[in-house]
Amino acid sequence: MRTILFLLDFLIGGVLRRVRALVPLALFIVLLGFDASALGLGRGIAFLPDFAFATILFWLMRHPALMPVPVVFVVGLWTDALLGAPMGLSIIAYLTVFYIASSLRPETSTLGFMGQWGVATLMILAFFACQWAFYSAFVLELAPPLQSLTRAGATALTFPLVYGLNHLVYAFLWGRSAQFEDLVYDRA
Amino acid sequence: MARRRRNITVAVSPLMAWLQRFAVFLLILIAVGMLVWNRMDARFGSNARMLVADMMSPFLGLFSQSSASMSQVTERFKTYEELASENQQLRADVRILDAKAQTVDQLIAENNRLRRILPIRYRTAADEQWNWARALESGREVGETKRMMAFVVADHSRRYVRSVLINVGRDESVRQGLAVVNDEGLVGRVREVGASSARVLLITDPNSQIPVIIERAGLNAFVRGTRESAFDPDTRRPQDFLRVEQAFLLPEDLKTIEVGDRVITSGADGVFPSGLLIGFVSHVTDAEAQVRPSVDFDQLSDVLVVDYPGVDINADLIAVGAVGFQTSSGEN
Repeated sequence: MRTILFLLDFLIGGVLRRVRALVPLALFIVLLGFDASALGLGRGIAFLPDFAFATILFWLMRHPALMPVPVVFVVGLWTDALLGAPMGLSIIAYLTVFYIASSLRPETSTLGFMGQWGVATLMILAFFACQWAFYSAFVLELAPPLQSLTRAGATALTFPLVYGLNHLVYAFLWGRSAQFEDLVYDRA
Repeated sequence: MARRRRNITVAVSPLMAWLQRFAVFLLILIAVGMLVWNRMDARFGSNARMLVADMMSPFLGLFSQSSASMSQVTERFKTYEELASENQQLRADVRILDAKAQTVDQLIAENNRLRRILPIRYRTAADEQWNWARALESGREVGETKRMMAFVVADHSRRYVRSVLINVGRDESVRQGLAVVNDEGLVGRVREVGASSARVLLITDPNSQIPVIIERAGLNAFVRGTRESAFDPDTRRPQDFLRVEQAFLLPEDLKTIEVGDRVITSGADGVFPSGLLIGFVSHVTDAEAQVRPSVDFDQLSDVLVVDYPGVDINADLIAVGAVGFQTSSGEN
């Protein structure tokens, strides 16, 4: 598969290599679409993990160079627009997580997987708490917090799965052999 | 040359780092500003929202269809006892519906006959003027109600703003404010319209306030959505409820309301036609009355967007409920 892609990329002048930076964003858009669609879950939606946010969190924590602040802003804007939420609500939550992730980066980069999961759980809680707090401020009354808490819990529990899948994507697109292919391509 | 470039990079990098950190705060401030603006003007961001919704609508529809197919597959795995009891229940329902359909046919025929004899009744003179203007604009006959079948492609009914996205929009002549119903009753009204999709504000959203009549008590009141749920002993699960607004009622009015009273739209706002079923009174105390919506928002899939020109369409909507989205004019 990778060889085919590499050959194809070589033939079209390295375009695929340049657009692979958009893969995290594409993953996010697909997962948010899944999250927003009418799945017929009703109240069960509270137990559906926020895979779109978890994906962004993985790239923020592990590969921040692919998630600069303007991209995070656009991610928040897209979320608000698609979910019909007040504009700015998700942007604030995403930027807050971005700020926490960039502040904790020196410490988190040396942590093992369990440590990173713990930090991710804190950031997931911060994300949902931020959305809940700003929405409550927006409507000038306390919104029921239970659904946000449940979703935060479900997202934190499934984060290792999202982590693993996104790690595979990264390894496929930017892994060691891909770096070697980069070298070959650049020399060519 | 390379050394000079490296020197510049070393000199600029702290500045870039500071700018990046500053950019986060600046963007957060912009986002807070957007939120405040949205609070002052609900239409803010409407175009962006509908642009994204239009782009994503076919994609969302794909997910929704897959999920509906999955539900159908799981629905097929039922035990023999469940099927037998369901069959028995359906036979009973068919008998009741047959009887109702006969009555409805008679009522529709009678209604049509009376409409031919009598001029259409308008609530006010302004309503009549508005109705004629609308009819001229659309090239339709006065009193003709246009309906559009739509599917729910995105469900945000359990999120902060209680709304759903449907797969019809401006291209199908959907406009802001149109009523959205299904066979169970009133679903909501169109809030934002895109080219091929529209966002419907559900009646359970706190921003939704509807003038109603509590039928048995004969009371005119307003109901408003809430963000709260109450346990419903009939369905054995939490149910959303609407609250009867206190501001428009006298304290003794509450005493005339009873659990089980039917609540229908009064049509006083000129947005919804009168007579649409909203729900039933589920709880009454000295301080408040709650209404359980007749629509099951957890199972919302297909709806009808009704372009109401200002006349009473009760009979048509009874037909909608009885014969499954068929209309008197044969439109779907």
